[in-house]
Amino acid sequence: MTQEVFDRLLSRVEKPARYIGGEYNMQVKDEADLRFALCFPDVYEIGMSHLGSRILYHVLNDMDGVSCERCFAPWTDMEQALKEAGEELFTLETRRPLKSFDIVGFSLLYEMCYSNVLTMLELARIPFLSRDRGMDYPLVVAGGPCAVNPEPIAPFFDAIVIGDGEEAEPELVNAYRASRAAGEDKTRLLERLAAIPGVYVPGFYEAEYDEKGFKAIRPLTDKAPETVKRRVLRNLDAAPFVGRQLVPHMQIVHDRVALEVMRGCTRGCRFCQAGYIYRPVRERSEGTLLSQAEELVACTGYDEVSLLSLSTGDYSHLHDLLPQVMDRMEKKRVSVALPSLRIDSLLKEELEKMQSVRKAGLTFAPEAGTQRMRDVINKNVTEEDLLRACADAFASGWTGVKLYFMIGLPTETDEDVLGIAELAKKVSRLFYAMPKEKRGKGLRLTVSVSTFVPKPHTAFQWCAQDEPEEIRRKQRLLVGAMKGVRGGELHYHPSFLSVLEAAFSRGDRRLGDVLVKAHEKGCRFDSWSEHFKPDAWNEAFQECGLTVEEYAHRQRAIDEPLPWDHVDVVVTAAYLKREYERALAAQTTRDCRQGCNGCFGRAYADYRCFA
Amino acid sequence: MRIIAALHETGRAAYLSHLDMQRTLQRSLRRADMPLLYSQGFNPHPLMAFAGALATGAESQREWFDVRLDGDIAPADFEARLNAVLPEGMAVSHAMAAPEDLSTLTGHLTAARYTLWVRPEKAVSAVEVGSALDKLLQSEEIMVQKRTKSGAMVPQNIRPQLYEARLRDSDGVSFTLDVLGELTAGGGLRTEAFVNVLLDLLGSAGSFRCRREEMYFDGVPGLPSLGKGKHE
Repeated sequence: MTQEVFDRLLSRVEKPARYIGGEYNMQVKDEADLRFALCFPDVYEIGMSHLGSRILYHVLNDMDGVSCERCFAPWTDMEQALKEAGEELFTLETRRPLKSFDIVGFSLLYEMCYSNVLTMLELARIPFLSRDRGMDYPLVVAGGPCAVNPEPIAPFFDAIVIGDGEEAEPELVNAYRASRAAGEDKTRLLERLAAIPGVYVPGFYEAEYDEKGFKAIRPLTDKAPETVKRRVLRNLDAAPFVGRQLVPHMQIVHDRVALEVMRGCTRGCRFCQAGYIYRPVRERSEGTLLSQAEELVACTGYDEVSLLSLSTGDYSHLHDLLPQVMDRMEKKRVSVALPSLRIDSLLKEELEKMQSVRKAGLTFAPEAGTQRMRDVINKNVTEEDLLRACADAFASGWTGVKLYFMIGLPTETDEDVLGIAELAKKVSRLFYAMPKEKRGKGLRLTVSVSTFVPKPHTAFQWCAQDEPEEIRRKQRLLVGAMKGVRGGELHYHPSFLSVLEAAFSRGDRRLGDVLVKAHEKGCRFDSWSEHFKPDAWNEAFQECGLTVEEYAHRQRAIDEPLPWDHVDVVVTAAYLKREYERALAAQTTRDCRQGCNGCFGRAYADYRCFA
Repeated sequence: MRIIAALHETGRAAYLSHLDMQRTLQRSLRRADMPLLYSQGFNPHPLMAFAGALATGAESQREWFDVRLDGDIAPADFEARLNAVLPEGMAVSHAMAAPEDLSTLTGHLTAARYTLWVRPEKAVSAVEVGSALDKLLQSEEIMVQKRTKSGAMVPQNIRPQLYEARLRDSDGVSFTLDVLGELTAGGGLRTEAFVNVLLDLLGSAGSFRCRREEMYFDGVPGLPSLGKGKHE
């Protein structure tokens, strides 16, 4: 792309900084025998905040002869500018067209970005379907948490990496090189990929349906395994990290150094897919984290470090790590953020220390309003925990508190829904009952309520999602109940987006056609309300002879075949069933740190948590 | 101590907004391990300020800024350490110790010189451009529409802000202008408005690129100045 064309494109967009590249620590390799375009199907600000993509950018560029470049979904102004100029989608590093890369890889973080994958392929002039692409097109692959149910997007990808990518992606790259060196055709290449643990080649499998829907999926060749085992990085402490983290010019969503203290979570919340699909829990040592913090701060100039994980309060060495990391960072005027602290692990002293550097809002996620409901979802947090944590926070001068909840959970009654407002009321009363001189001025209590989406590989994978009318009724119930809560503000969302999310998260291969139809009807950036087109989605389902209701709102039988049965995420189906039954009986399951609950099964007898 | 220096922003860096540029320079100063001084309050930030804001999309040879440091550093070292960690398209030069009594650079800012590369959609000759420029410079007022903060369009006379405009080059397809205009804390010549008026006179639509060549100050020793009484 010439400079003149580039300038003309940029003159037409609202935020040119999304497309310019050139950030500090960007890697450009002029000489490379393999070019990998790392694509993120959302805008720059979001994609650049994704830790997994940063890790892969480093891992791939660290390979000899491999150049990894970035590409994000262009916002609609750039999409239009590209189309009108007759230009193709390009990477930030060298502005090469995507089509000229050997491998194009997408990170799939949430289902509602699937339509953007198609927009990006279209702008790159790469055919959507794997079977329509010969060796004259790039190999198109994907990875990320959505890969644990790869079926709705299966037709588009040649291969999908399920699980941790640190080891699997380099193996995939090397298999591609070996195949190319041997002058092999695409089938032979895909056979090599299918032999890599954790790599799923959708074209080697066929799904069967009957009048009831999905029936079975099985391999068409003995080169592809019956079940694809999720790839697990066994030693996180020794694993490559982000290297020299890119420093964006424009503000991104998570604009700070992110230190991954551990992968996985021991809590076992039954709705939480991440809690199941990142097992076993693996921790980094304090020594590694301390030196990574210093290196990253020095090479980026960031003034904030975030200790990232699904539940940082549970990290085994937190009490040793936190004072040390805070002490070292304070000297460099770097603040330390703990984004996912559990209420019951919150420590007053640490709160006060954090406040000395920077005062941000506090966020708690009780998830449900009554103890019964929290027992069902195994969110082992009590009302007492929450109120004590809030009291500590208020006493330390915090005035902004955000509470996250879900509605539409399995077995939920109106009492559970109203319990959310009850809990908010208690938090509010707690604040205003404190002597004026001991607390801040006005309370800002944000109660954010989302709609439960049942996810594959969780204890609730069989559950029906509440229908939109029922969700709206529950939302209205809450609006009324929240009226008397002083300082309280209720946030909730229209529910059709969660319906679609539910359909795609537990969808089967037939949804690929729906995606193509929705793309043709202009669907893109679905999680951006200004672009979301619910009618177009409904039409797309209809034209494919399917209904979104069947996918989202139907209760699955416990022994029914599921479209993701051929993906083994390490946690056994028997364990999920047991957890589901316990949930229905409102019985909690202990935190894995208090004793192993035996979720892995015999095939993974050597897997240990924490090591 | 307090250091004054000029930041060059070319190529990719032209597309950064003023806020992006501030953020990027702050992080670069931190990477260079400069002994920065910070503001008080809940969100302490380094005591650093640009003399003016540069429009997104424009390049600059001289974006003057000042930064307060806890301790002394030789200006040459300041330049070398910062240049080692600036991203592509940015470089720093002309570092010097700020005068003791300087309050802000912005307060002394008076004018700026620009190079404008204009590309009209229809071909225009050098003669046509020259006479259009003369016409603008001879008129008492040049009225343009300006968008206010509330979004409303109001008429504005930009003639008082236009000091000099000269045709440097023309190849029949595009032409290059040297322009000197007002630039102060309160605003100044908007090059985009000026080019649009010129293109209107030439009867063509078109596009342009802009590079700030220099900024002028009043009463800051060591910084470029237009001299007393000029353009007032």
